[in-house]
Amino acid sequence: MKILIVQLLRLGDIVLSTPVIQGLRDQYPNAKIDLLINRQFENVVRLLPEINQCYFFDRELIQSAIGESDRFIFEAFDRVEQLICSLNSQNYNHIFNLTHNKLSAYLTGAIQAETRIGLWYDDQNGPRIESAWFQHLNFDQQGSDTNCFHFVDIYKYSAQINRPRLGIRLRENAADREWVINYLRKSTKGGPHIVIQALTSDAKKNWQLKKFRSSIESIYASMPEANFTLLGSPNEEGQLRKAFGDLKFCEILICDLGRAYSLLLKSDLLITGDTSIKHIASASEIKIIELCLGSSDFKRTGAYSENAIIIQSQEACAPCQHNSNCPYSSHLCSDRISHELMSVVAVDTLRTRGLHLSKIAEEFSDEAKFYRVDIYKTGTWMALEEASGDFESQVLKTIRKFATKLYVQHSANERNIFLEMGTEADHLAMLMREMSAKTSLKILMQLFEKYEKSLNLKQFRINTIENDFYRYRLSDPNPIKLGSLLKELKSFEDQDETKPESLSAHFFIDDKTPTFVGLRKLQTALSKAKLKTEIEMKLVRSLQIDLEV
Amino acid sequence: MLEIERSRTGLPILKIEGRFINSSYDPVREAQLWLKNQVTKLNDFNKIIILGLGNIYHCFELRNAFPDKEIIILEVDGELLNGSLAHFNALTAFQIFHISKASDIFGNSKIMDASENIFCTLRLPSTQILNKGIFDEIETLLTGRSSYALTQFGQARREYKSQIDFHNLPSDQVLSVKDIASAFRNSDERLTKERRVLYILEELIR
Repeated sequence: MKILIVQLLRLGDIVLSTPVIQGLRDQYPNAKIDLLINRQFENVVRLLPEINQCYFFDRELIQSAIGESDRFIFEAFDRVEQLICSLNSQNYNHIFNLTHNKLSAYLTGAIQAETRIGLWYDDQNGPRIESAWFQHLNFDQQGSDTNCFHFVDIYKYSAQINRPRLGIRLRENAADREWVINYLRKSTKGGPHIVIQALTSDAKKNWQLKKFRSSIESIYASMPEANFTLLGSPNEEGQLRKAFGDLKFCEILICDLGRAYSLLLKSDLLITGDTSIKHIASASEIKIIELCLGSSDFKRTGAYSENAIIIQSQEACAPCQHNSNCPYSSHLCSDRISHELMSVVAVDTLRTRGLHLSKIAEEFSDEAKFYRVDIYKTGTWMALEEASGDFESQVLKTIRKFATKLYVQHSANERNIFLEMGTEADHLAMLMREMSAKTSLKILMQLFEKYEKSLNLKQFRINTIENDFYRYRLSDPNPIKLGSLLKELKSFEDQDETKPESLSAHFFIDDKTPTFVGLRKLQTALSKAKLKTEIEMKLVRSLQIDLEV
Repeated sequence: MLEIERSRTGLPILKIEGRFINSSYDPVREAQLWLKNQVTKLNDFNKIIILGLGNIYHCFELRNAFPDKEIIILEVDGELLNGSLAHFNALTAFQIFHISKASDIFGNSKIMDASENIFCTLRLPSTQILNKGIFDEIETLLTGRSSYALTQFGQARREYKSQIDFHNLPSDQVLSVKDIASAFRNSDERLTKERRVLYILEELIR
């Protein structure tokens, strides 16, 4: 069997693909598993285990061939064609396109294969998404907490990996390990080793270097035995030397990915923004504190590491759109977070493994939201907010996330989900028991009861709209009636106290949409809502029984 | 008039109409310095079309640096070409063609074959002085970025010939991939491999 994985995003995304690569290798030990990535991230290949051959998309070279008028006009064509030909000569059985964009979709469609998972364009130029999980990703671009799944989970689920708990895995090079042992021998004072990746690839996501400096000084004052290393790439060296060069207790290390990974394997704490280093760190045991600023979307690309702490600015505009520039003269989300916050969290994480995080979250609640990463036994990444007063919303979010997963799985496998929800329901019950430790079982049961009532009401409303819908379809369908039905649906959503995902967000109907298309979309949305509510109801009822016992 | 003299390092050098086209001190060193700036760019190509033979040592250095690449040399000046071949035996190892006018390149099967692959054009420093006008024109044609040149190259490419509407190309401007895209769109809607490639390029422009 020959499998090609297409990952044409950035370095961090390539690292996020390693669980699916590992999972495929476990399932198909003799398969040839190849990877297609952008040439500029060629250096990461030596860290990737289980890959037989790596192909490169020469994005920069092709872009320069398109743009430079002294280059042969067909050069860019030829380079892309050459790549397609060499991939086609491999006769792949399966292609997994983990890059959810048009470029990769055209490329995936051009490569011959028996099956393609992810987005691709067929011969009629029609977009195809051959996985319910990628369809879910496609329709929930701005998804809520409960709808959003981490990219790693989406990749794993879409590839139907049997071992859902698989995390990020990288290969350490012996020479890098040796180098890092020598490096640490020189610098160690016996205390914990803290690695800081201060700069990200996007200025919007950066925290001020002076704040990083103050944080380091504060941590050092509390833990003089600690060792500090500031990681950076060659183009960041100047900035780092200027900001931290005079800190005697802090080393600046400019190194390649291999050495960075070896260092992370031997260190105790990583403080970072939204960088590929956090993903590389997720392959180690290191504790991670991730600063989520600017357009960082931690719900999909947060550190895939149990107990990682994510700090998101409380600024109203955060998180912002990825492609838009920050309209303010200074980045408010970055300004809002103080160096005291970072040093307190870092010291607590090192000394008590973050035992006091909820108290810290309370103390700094005007600056940031704090999340702790949990990777459930059934393989779902979730960042749970550390806030004492928000227990109800946490419980509801957790149940809804489980329900969404079951719903998408149902669409993916077309199997009877109610027969298969046992494992998820058992694990959810276990989680709820853990959560009930924060409050009492009685309160939790009351919460379930309240939730069940609201779900009952929701089911009733959906049924009412559905009846109206069928009556309307049998009568004389016209856009005005369809519009009023949609208004009814919208007002149902607005009134829903449980504030679920929006139904109408799943489709867009304008004046030009033919009535039959509107009807079909509406029917799909209603059946989706009905099934999701039914799943939620079953989960809540099974929780009530489990926890009562 | 072509004359052969010796550099201070003792190597034969060319003098045309009283002007040296090589360094009269050390032509090899001159060629090495020139090549140093080209190496990174040339690594990405398997075929190289060199415009001008004048600085012969440049060609030798290029061959030494890239023994496996196919190198084609185009020279406009017949006297220079014959004189050089007579004095530099090593030149016989190269594919050298005499081009008397720019459009001759389309009648040259080797050049058209090269254009079927990924190639780059490299202009030697001497061509900025000797026959500059014709070399400018050849260079422009070899980019394929004029309606005439693209039509010539496009006609030679079977796979694109049937899909590009060459009459739809703007005739008065330097062509870009976007212009090819416009000319493509008028043909049928089936997503051929070539059309996919075009869409990929359009995504890269975005």
